[in-house]
Amino acid sequence: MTADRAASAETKLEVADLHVWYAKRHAVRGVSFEAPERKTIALIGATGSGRSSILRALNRLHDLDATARVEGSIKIDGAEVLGSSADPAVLRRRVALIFGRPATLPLSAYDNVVFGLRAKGVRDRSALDAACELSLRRVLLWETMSSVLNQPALSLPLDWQQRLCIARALAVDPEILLFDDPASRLDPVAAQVLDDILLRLRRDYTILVATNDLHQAARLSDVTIHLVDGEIVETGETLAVFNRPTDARTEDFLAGRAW
Amino acid sequence: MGVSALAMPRDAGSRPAAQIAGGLLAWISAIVVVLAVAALIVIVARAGWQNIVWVFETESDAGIGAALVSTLAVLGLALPPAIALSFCAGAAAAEPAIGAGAGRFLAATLRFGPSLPSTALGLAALGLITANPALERSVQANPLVAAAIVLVALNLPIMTARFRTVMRAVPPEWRVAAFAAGAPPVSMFFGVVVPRAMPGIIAVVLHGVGQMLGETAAVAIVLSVSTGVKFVNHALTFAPAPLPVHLWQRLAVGHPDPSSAPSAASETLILLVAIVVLRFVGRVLARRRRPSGAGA
Repeated sequence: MTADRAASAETKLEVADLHVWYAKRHAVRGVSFEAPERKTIALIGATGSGRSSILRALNRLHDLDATARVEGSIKIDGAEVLGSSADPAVLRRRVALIFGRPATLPLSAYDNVVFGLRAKGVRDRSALDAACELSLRRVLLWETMSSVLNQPALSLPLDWQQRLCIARALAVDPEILLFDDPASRLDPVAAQVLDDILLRLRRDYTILVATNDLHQAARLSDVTIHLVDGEIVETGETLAVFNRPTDARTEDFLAGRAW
Repeated sequence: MGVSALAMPRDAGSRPAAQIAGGLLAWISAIVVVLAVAALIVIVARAGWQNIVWVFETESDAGIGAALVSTLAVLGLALPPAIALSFCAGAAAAEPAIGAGAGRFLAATLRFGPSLPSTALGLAALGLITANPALERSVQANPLVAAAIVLVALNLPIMTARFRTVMRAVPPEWRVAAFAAGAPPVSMFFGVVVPRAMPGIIAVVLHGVGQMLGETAAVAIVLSVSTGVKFVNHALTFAPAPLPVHLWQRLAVGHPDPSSAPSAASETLILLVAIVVLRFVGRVLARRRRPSGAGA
């Protein structure tokens, strides 16, 4: 993302009446929300509440699943991205998805970081090197990794792999970052480092984080959306949702009570 | 140490009898197979070594140089199209993002295709050729090409199925990761799937070579019966006599007398050595092509 991107709080992402089915299972039921530019939204909810399905729909990963069906509207900067008119590969470079389990490719660390750029058609070695260094610096890996860039990425520690995947996403200059429970496989120290990285990134990107970690959601997000069985039951400013939830189910969820 | 002692661990007393019997059976079977293969190699080597006729002649019962060259010629004609077609079809069947509807149709077909005897497919291709008078005349004129066409048809389904299998063995999460990074299907395929599947791809090609080496015999014999083309090596440019055909001629067609057995043994030896060399080359290539990043 370039530094001169407008600092306005215009709507970056607009989701309207989004439905996702896996075969006959209705996983997301008419979800609508908006994400202002450079704001961070946390999606919280129990397992199976539809958080990951929403993120995958935004990234159009459901296109790869023959059993999945998506209906509704997703607009980025006012332009519809569902349907055949939008190129999924281009969309995925604009809307990067980072998984909970590091999606490291079986390539060297360097090739992992520049994978998206090469797929985009960038061949100039100096441009690739520059993008690699910048991306790794943004995820606090450049100092430690610059001498081992040719090492197989799969042999790196898990937290490095996760940061490498974030660097790969950043290298293609995305506009929106989607994190699907990014710290779920990390130890507390590594999770803390990841939070620090996200805190830096939220200044420059519109971010959606689906997380089970309520502390992470409270610390990172501006807006929190609580989902139950594929439906939004509460949405609002994070502080308000966490301190004064209006829905009993949200109150129970935050308190760790089953209903 | 006896077989039973090898098969039984120290705490055999606590193991069920069926498990012990199964272990014994496995050991006995393995030993029988190894001994049989070793005996075959020794017999063939003893009988064949002194009878190898290296003279390059084009008469039907002289030398194997012509047979080797003919084998290479048929392989050279049949392998490239077979590999190209089956690789593309395998990719379409393995990668829904590339193959789309055609890929799904191929994948469904491949559930049944490889179970068909490959010789039947070769015969079907031959039938199509001989049913057409113009094509049949061209077969008479170019038996090498006809043999290659039949071999391609014969190997296509099984090679396609094998290519699909090795491509599908690449973990799907790497595909998703590549797509999520913004790679179009073709970049994902050549950037992730092909490098990871390369050892398997090489193995499929080598299997194809081995299969074609063996099946040229059946093809050439059927061709000669059905079209009247003489698959004996009167002239290299006219009639291919690949090594398996040469063997067949020695043992069954032109030499019913026992005196031709040593010559046949020598040719079998060469065929075995050729297959062992192919296998060795394949293993070396597969190791060299194994991509870095296998790691944890």
